[in-house]
Amino acid sequence: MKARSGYVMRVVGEGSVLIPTGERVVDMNGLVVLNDTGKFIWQCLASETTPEQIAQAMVEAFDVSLEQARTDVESFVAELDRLGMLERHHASH
Amino acid sequence: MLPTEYKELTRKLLADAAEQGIPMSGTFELTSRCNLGCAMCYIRTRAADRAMKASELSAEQWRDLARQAVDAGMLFLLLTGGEVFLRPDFFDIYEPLTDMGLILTLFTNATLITKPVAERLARRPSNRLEVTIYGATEATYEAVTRQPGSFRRFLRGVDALLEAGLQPKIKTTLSRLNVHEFDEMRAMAEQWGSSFSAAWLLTKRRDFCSSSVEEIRFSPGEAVDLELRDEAAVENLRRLAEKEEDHTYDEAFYCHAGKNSFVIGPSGDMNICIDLCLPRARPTEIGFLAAWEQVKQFMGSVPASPTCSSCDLSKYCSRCPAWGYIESGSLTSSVVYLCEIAKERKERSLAMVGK
Repeated sequence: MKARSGYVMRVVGEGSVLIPTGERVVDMNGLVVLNDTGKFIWQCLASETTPEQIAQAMVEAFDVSLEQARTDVESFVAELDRLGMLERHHASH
Repeated sequence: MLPTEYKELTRKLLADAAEQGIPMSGTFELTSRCNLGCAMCYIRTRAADRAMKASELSAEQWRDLARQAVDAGMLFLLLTGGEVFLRPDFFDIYEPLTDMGLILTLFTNATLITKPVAERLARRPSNRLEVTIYGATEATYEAVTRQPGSFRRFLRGVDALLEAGLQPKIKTTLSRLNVHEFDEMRAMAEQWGSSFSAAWLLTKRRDFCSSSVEEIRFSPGEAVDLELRDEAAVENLRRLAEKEEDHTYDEAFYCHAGKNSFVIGPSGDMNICIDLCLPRARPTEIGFLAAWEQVKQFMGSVPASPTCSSCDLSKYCSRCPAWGYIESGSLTSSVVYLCEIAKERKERSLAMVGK
């Protein structure tokens, strides 16, 4: 899976937001607020990856257990999925 | 941590930006020209005004200003006019903006929106689209717009937007010419599945050209009658009457003008707000950031009105430097029309709470 194209991440004040651009506004009119973990996961999703790979990377980057990282990734990825912001290559499953 | 609820998030982002002097909220007035001729308009010039057209920034200049503004922190952008669809190069400005990571709002009267225009807009929709209605019948609508055929074109435009899958917010500007159709206009908006809002506090023209706004805007009594048709306004007045302390302020601008927001006019002047054409900084000549610095400096240089800041009506009053400048010629002047409205508000609100 990877992030769908057409979203711009912008740093605003003390945080970051994802903003749909162009035709993506048809799918999602608004913005997504990212905390540090969300920002990290979104950046991992710039190229094809798996939840497990992201969780492993999180353990490296943050002071967090693999179990906690898996939970965080699962919940954030589910939210991105709900908003239609991910591309999945079903053939590989 | 930023809040995730949209309204609270935008409120927090804008408050933080105001504190830090970041130009987060911008308005681009792409033209002052309009194909309608509304008597109450504060900006309108004729659609065919060649001198005005020649003075407008090019599409490339608007795109360049937008890129600079985004680099400086602009997140919210309103595109307005005049009527933006009078510009044949509108989409050359608009479409690149939709790729810049902005929350875009678009104001239009919808009379120039045809099926192809609506369909093109729907492929890259703005986050918010607001359409003004001037009357619920041809006679009233065109008494306001002074443009035969405009009501039919307005209806066609709204239909085209809806058919393209766009959902405009409908709003009106109320005056003595159309207030009798307020309920009918709201019903039309409901029928289109749109929200509806109304503005009624009308200023003279900001360029000091003559206008007939004083003949058609409401008397203070009528204005407050109208205001009190809205439950939120009633509640607000009640709260003000119950508040013991007087509302005094020591800064001239009590809104976000010049703190996190700016306006760039059709020929490229950067100003503090849509009603006040000062300080006329020139971002196309000195760069966006230098112009923004001038706007902030101007905001800080305007003193609070000595008369108004100590007035016991101030908590009921909508006066600001822009109103003082437009109506009385000075940034610190009081405005008789607003003084009278404030008196009406005070009397009615005290009566509400039995004081």
